[in-house]
Amino acid sequence: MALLLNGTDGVTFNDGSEQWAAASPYNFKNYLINGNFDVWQRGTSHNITNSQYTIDRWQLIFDGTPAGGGTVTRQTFTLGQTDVPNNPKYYLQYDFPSVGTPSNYIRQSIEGVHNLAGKVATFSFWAKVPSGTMTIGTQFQQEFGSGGSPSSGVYGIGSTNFTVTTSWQKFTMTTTLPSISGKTVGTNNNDKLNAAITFPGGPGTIHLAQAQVEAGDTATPFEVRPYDMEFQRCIRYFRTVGDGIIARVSSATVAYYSHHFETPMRATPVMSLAPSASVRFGNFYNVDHTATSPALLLPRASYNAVVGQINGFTGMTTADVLQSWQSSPPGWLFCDAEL
Amino acid sequence: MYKKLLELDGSEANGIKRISDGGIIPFDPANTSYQEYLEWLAEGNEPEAADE
Repeated sequence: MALLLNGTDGVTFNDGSEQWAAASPYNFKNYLINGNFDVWQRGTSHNITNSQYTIDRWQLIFDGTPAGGGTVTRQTFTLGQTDVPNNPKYYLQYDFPSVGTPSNYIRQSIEGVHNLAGKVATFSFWAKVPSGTMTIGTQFQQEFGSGGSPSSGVYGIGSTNFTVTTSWQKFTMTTTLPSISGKTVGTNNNDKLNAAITFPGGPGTIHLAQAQVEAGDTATPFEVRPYDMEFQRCIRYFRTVGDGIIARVSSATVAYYSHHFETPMRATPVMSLAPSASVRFGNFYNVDHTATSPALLLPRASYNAVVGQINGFTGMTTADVLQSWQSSPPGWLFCDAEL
Repeated sequence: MYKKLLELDGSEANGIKRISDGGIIPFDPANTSYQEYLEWLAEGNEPEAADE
């Protein structure tokens, strides 16, 4: 039996949803990365006191003053549950206190403001609350970056409110994104399209799962991509480096290390140590050193490599060549090139 | 908020230290944290001197 895709009628799936053949590809239709909330390189539990990334690619925005720190944690679906289809493993739980201003939302920045510009786009996700109800909002945001004279950002695109209940529900926003014809993009390669979910002033708790942004006016079934593929996409923006790298000792307290990124990062990353990092170097024969309060010295980075010094050791022998192994956490060096 | 860094020869490094988390921010215009640092500078702030 032949299947004709004429670009007009699309394909109707067995759940009644329709996918437009011409407007949306069948592979990589989801413009979001880590929409299944599987990749948590920074850790699976975070205290939120200001705007920050927690789960890969998702940024919490706190423009106000929280009365107390919020938390983002990874939660596990009950095996075999059918409330949210496709057997997702994890969902995100966000507990937030009272927030001083209305800006309390989570968003993902899609690299390049040209994405979906002038087209119909649909943002869908699953959500529930543990008790009561919660009114949340969704919107797209077009930001034109920095450098030169970029156009001003466009916010509140397609802004829609939903009522979340104690049952998992799929929420869908469809809108036409403004054209970027006549606009100016900044010169720093950091323009972006944001998909945002806004929360009330709080306090509150919400659960989120399976988020998707796609072309067309229909929320098609969530695109489940292999974990390794999704992880590979995440590390363009954030990655950890640590155990497995080799360092050369330059003094009793300092070692030089280097690491090449097989997948380049979006930009030169910010380098920082993982919280409470304990870094171990040795040859695992007769040399073993651990820095429980290490610090980075003279780190150098580019989009495809990091090189630097780390101190905090004692009694090392100059010119020894050592390996990092069994550090805590294993990925003790954070490299951040998020948008 | 921020602290200058020195190279081994005493010259200023091509990056700045963010004191809050010890992160080293590269002077790459595409880096979002660098843009935040530039905004902070534009507000009239000055980074702390580097450790000698």
